[in-house]
Amino acid sequence: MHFANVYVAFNDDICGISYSVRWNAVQIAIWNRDADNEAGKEKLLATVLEKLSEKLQPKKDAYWYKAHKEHKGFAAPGA
Amino acid sequence: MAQITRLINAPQPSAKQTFHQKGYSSRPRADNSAFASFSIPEPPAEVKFETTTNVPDASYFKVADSQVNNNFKDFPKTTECQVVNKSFYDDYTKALNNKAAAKNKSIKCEPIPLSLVEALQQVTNNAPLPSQPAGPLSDNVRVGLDQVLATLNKYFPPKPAAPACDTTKVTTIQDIVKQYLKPKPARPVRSTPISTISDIVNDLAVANWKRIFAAAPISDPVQLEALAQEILGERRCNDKISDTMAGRLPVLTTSDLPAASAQEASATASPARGTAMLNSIFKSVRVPEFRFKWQFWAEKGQQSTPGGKSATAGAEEYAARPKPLGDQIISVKEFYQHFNNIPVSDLKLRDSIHLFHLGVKPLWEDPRNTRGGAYYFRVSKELAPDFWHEICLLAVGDILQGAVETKRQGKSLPFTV
Repeated sequence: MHFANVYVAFNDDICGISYSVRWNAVQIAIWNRDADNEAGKEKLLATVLEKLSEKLQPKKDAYWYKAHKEHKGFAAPGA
Repeated sequence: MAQITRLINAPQPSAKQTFHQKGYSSRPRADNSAFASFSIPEPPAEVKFETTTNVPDASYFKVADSQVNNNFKDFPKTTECQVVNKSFYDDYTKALNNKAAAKNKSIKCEPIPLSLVEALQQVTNNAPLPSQPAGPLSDNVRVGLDQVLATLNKYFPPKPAAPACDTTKVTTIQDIVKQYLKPKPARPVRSTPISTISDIVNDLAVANWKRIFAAAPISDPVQLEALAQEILGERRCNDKISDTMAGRLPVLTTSDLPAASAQEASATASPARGTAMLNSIFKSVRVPEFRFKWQFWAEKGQQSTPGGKSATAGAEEYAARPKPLGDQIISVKEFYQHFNNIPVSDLKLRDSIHLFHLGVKPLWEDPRNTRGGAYYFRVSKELAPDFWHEICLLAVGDILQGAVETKRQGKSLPFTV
């Protein structure tokens, strides 16, 4: 079912953080609620990089953003 | 041994009898030869059990009643305004006890004013003020009197327009006292049942003061204050105090300190007193709560790729679902109770630990996550625990939330069901 004309108030939010062990590294994620909140995402990254200790600063290619729906296993509700 | 046996088997009829007379029930036993003699030994005859209690009973009030009525017959039932509050009452009972002790020793002593009314009467009769029990009256008595005066002020607020300096109307303190002491025959009628002695005392005190001031509608606070100072044996009541403190009762008596300025008074005028003050202190020293409640989750690594999730629903998938760890986290105390007990460096491949807002599951498919995404940071295993620690603190400390929480006024998105 698809209601194109239903609009709801939608504010961004931090949903949580994750610590996942991968093969040779650890993947730490910060989940937010609105993948389209470009300004929020930008500010979030800037905040993290600013607040993290010097020795913990990640390299340029060591972080990225990904919307949940772009994951292969994402099962859209109602889809 | 023989002695012990004899003791056990020896019948003690008197003790048993006493035991049963006191109303205790004792179930008879089948073998009562040994057990029956285990009864509470009777106390020696010369020992008497006396009920000693620290709580004053009504006898104090009877003494006070008769005392006052003897001294003060034209003012009926004047026990009412004797006891104003606990501290005042304590001093009062102390004085009574001193009086009784002195009486027993047959030493003639000055009568101690049992009440404000009696003291007023003595002032009225121009009698010299009696000597106090031990030096000047204690602060407790003074505080009690101040509270009486505060109550009076409540019922009869000082009128600013009243000519406070008009001395023609009221000439002397004695005149005021005489006016105030006009007896009223009617006793207050209680409609509610009497519960405790202190209730009676409080009610009667209030009623009596109402009566006194109904009889004398003039309530000049300056004169009242002078009266109070007079009763307290404080001769410091003079024109200076009357001028500066006109309309302000009760007076805080400090030695020579300057009065608080208006600015200082406003700065110290906190509404929190007593229990309220304690509560506010406890509240301020309590660990502050986070803005959001949090919850740790544990997720076991999946051996298969998450792509087959919808196809392979089974025990393995169920085991791989995130499970909440412990209770909700509302302050830094609970946070570290959990955090310090999660060995993140010991996790196996594909295992995960999540720290999420309470009510949000760490799944992409959670209703609050479907439209969201995540920043991923690849961190070396050496640095990961520290990195995780700092990110956790940024999360619970509301730093991350503040970053994404822009001032967009409820941006509307198409809502897909």
